[in-house]
Amino acid sequence: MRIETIRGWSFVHKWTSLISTAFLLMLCVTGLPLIFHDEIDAALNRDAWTPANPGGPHLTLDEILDIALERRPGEVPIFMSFDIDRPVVNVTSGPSADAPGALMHFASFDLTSGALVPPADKGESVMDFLLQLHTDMFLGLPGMLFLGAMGLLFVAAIVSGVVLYAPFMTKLEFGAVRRGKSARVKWLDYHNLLGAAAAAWLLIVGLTGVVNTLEKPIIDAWRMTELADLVAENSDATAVETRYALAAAVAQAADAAAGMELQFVAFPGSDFSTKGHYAVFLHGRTPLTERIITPVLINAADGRFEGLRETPWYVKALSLSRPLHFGDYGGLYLKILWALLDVVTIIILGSGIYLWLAKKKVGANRFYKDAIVTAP
Amino acid sequence: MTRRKTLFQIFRAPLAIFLITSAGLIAALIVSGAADIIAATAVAASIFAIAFAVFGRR
Repeated sequence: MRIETIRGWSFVHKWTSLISTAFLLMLCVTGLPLIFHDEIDAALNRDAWTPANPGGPHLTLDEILDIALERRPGEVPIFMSFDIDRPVVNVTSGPSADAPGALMHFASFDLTSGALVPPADKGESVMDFLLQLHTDMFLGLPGMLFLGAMGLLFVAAIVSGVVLYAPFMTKLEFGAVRRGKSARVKWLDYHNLLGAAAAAWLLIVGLTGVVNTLEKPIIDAWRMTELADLVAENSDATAVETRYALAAAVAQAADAAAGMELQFVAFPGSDFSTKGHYAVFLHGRTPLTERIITPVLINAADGRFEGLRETPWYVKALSLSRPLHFGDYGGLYLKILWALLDVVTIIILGSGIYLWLAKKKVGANRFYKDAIVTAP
Repeated sequence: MTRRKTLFQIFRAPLAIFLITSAGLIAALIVSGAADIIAATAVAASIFAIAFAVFGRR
């Protein structure tokens, strides 16, 4: 590789890394506890909850909804979701169906009795803080998109790093660390080894992180294109006066999407529905399809079935980007590897800053001469 | 002095780790249960390679 080419790639590597490193360090540090979010929640909230009438008959979803709204006078339902491993229904309500998250109220109910299920929320405020910092730095959509841009710089830094790996390794075996040489040569070898070994994971987590920052534009695009006819049809629909039975609507949706599992219901006027529909979201049962949700729209006034819409490819991509970024799809063993690779990333970032400072101190010529020519 | 290595020789080991890790990352998405352990072990190729280079050849 010609020296001009090395300098060119080195320029790309230096600037993409320097701009993004501080944010990437923040993402690595906040991401580390978030990998174990479920385990931390379970450890902090040990009081096991049991249903009032285990194995007993379930209340209907409409009964649960009535109980939930009785507790929140003046509010309207926004979402209803279903726990996987216990007979619990969660109702999100608010002053209006399109209320911002801060004004939403979340409560869980026992399907066998209608009793309130105490929230298992010890430690939740800390985890929420970390998640928010990790997602958008408390800046909403602009913050998310900014972190997405940092993710793109990270990907450019990985690609340029792979290119730069070659000239430094022409005379070295894979994994060689020149411990006898100066600290900067030794750390360059560590930086190269860690980057080369973790490249696949770094790229996957970086790229899926970028896709996750596009969640809002992706969902909006879905609503405006694939669901546009339904949204338009109901754009000036006034609030539904008498609500069609929720349980019947959900049963109809489950029939339409045979073999799929109920995930959540978005009520008319909420972010994931139209003004005139229940949007019933279902997911598949195989490991791959259980992360891909399909909406079935049921007219909320008369229970008319309005169709099952195929999920477009970009929403599927978003659905698959979540597990691939969070690392929560292959058991605890995979999570531990996620954590180790997160630490590896922190070392790569830290050694990168050190190498930049060392190169500035001794000059580029000396830096390259020591690192490339004096190979054993 | 050691001979210069070709690009293939330089990238042979990193490419192998890249392919094994990627296969594991994607396989874990498709399989479940005990097969997850095998998929995760493929992902662990990256960690094994680092551990071997750092601790294995002193």
